[in-house]
Amino acid sequence: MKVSDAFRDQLIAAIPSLRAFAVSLCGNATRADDLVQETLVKAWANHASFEPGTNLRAWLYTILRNEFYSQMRKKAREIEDSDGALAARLAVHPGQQGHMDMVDFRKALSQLPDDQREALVLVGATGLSYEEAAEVCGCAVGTIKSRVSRARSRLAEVMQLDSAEDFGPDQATGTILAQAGGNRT
Amino acid sequence: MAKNDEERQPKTEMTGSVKPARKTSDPTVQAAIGRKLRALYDEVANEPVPDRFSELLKKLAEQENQGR
Repeated sequence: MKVSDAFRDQLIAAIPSLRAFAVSLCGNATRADDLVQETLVKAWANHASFEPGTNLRAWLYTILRNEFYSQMRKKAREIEDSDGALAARLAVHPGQQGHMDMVDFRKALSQLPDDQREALVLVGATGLSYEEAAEVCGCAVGTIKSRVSRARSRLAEVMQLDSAEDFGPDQATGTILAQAGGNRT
Repeated sequence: MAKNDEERQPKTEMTGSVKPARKTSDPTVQAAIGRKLRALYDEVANEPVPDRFSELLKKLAEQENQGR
């Protein structure tokens, strides 16, 4: 069966959101576009398995996600200690500034476990329903809900830790030291 | 393991000895998370689509025509 013009047009229309989803998964624009390319090739080849009337974007996210994880599994064999490296980065203070700007947010998001980040992005940014997100991730709706909730708690912790720094002892000490330094001169 | 994951409360190893000032379910904080999340997503989604993708789809269509 030939790919219909309608299907092709829908593919084209979905590219921006595919790219955005890919970046949120892998955190790297170049790699994200490679993932999108793979996804389009696979979607084209398997267009017959798409059920018309269902959510095409969800179907495409599923393909993209599978591609991402199969690449990750290959990589994981090469880099055994990726978990250790991630844990080390998590221990670092999330922001130098008092408020949590987008840079900090991006960083905190990238440090979430993959399954939590993808659930949060699918539900919170792409506009998919919990049910559609569950299908994309191949898990139960309850699992998606719990992942989203844990992701939100984790991000909230980071954001509050950040705002606590405004009034925290380190900040106060720093101010006193700065004032003391000012008095001396 | 999945079950354990679902039941376990979020660990607070990131905060360490710092006591949480507010609940992480604070609606203001959660609304801010939602806004930032969409802003990040839209930032990429609103970018112009690189040419490589329209070229790719053109190529796929050509291959299909040649193949049949």
